[in-house]
Amino acid sequence: MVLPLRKYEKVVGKEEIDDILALSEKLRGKRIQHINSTAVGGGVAEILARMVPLLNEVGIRTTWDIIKGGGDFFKVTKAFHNALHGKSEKIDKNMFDIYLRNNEINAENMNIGADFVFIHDPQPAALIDTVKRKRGKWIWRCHIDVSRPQLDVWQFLKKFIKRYDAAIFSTPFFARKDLSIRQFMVPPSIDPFSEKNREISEKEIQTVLEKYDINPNKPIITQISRFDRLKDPSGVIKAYRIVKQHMDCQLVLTGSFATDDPEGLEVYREIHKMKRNDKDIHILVLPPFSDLEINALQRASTVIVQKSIKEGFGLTVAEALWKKKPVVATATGGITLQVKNGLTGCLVYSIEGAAYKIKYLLNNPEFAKKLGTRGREYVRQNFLLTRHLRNYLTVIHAIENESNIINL
Amino acid sequence: MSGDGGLSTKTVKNNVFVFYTSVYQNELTGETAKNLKEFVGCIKKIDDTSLFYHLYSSLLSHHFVPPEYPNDFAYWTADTLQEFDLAERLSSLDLGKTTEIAILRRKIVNIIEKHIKSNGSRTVPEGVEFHFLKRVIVILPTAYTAKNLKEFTGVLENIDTKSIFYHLFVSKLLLKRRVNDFSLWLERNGNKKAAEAISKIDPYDYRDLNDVRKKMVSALKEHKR
Repeated sequence: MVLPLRKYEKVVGKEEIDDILALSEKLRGKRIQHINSTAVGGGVAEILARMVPLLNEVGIRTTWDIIKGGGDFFKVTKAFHNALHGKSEKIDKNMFDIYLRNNEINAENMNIGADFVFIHDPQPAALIDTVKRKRGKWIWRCHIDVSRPQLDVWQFLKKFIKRYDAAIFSTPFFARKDLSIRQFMVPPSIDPFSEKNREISEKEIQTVLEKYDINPNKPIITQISRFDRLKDPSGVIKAYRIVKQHMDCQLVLTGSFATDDPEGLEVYREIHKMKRNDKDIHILVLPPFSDLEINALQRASTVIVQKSIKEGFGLTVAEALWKKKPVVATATGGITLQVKNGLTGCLVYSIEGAAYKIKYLLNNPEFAKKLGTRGREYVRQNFLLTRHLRNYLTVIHAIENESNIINL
Repeated sequence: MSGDGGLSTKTVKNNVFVFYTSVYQNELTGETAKNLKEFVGCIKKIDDTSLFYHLYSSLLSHHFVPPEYPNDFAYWTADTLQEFDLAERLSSLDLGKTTEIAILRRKIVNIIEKHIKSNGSRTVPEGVEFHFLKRVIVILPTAYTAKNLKEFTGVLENIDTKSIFYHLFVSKLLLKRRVNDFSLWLERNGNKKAAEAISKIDPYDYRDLNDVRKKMVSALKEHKR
């Protein structure tokens, strides 16, 4: 359940809420439609589930639709996703056709049109071309790193994206010089009151550890991510094995399968094979809506790792920092916005680097605590849902006014 | 736009100071620089809000440790280019005296071009280029007003730092009033010394806007008519 906006005041301060209400006043009665590719699993769905009710609360009529697609479509979009992140993928004409056909079918079966249509990520990006009549302003909200894409995929998508009124990226590094539309920077966010992030009791934490047979008295290193090669779960196991040579510890690799990610099962099998018979490696597959369990696992952890090879933002980093946990994460994409090396966490570039920092943090709990405390404050100031909501409102005003200085 | 003495008619109604605030949205320009030649080329052509963003945005951020350099230009030249003397010069812009963005731009361009002449322009590896951003600024009313110095000081002691930022820097440089709103109102109300003291504040001398606030409040108390 999403709490009323005013409840956030005690976390983010009165001014932030006053600003949001002032920004929304002139937008009351306007309509926003969000469209993405999955209702559960992954950060986009999580954010929308919290954001949509708040937009409605401030008087903007907001709906959320999800495109449908079969296995072949999501195989194609996953290959696009990897290719846009710079991973080499074989893409043929048939794949482009599958993508377009699915966007066309979705356009026919969906009621698309609002004052502001937010299209999230590449999967539904071609809707702008296939919809019968483009109504309202269209915004392409890109959550992934498209700074060094495989060019055939980017050129294909660019044909659609350049028709949008604006694009939103999570970091400045993802901006595209070859797009002439306006590009805004809006990092994602977490909700401090969601089931995944709210304060929970020690008893709730212990219950989850017991359920998964995790020893509460041995240091716990955790990575929580989809089973996805770009999250490098095998690299995490290798780093853990280096640490394990020096000190006793456990590794918790927790993931889930998202409907728009057909590679998950394959990756899960690979890492299960790597685990061999190490009882201190816990590979947990959590079904959707396991937020309380994730919350408990994060809070029980001694160190939280995010060893992504590429990362749009990495909401799990913000979640860990919010829980005052020391984080070891790769210096990639949006992670660098959240982890200020040595201040709010540790940035690393290799498996060896990750192992070294994990060991250091396990051996220096006072330093780890300091990182965690600063991390929470940094998230409070920069990566909570209310800031994200404010950004969406300012982007809308910017698109409406086409000026850099707007007097409300 | 400007009313009496350069103050907006919205900011002063019947000599009552009306406090505004502003919220910001970062916009990506797509402009990047990988060496000083490209850097100075971009600085010459970016719009005022972009220059303003890179010189002033750090003031709105929370710093766990005092920042070594007060603006993005100095930070990048030190941290990435390792041109420490240039970074120091880019930190000493004397913002208190600055009345126009154009003056600041010329000053920065001169500093960098002079440095290139004697030191050349090294190119940084891919991934650590300077990314130019700009800001959309949305100006919003607040519930706070002041009709005399006592009320003014009281509001200033408590108001959101974004409001201070707006009246001190946004209105002076981006709304082209050349003097900050606080000093204009104080001078108009016979508090010339306090107005001058606030005008002279160089924000780079302070850790953040809360420290700037403290300085302003003490100036108001010291120069009370």
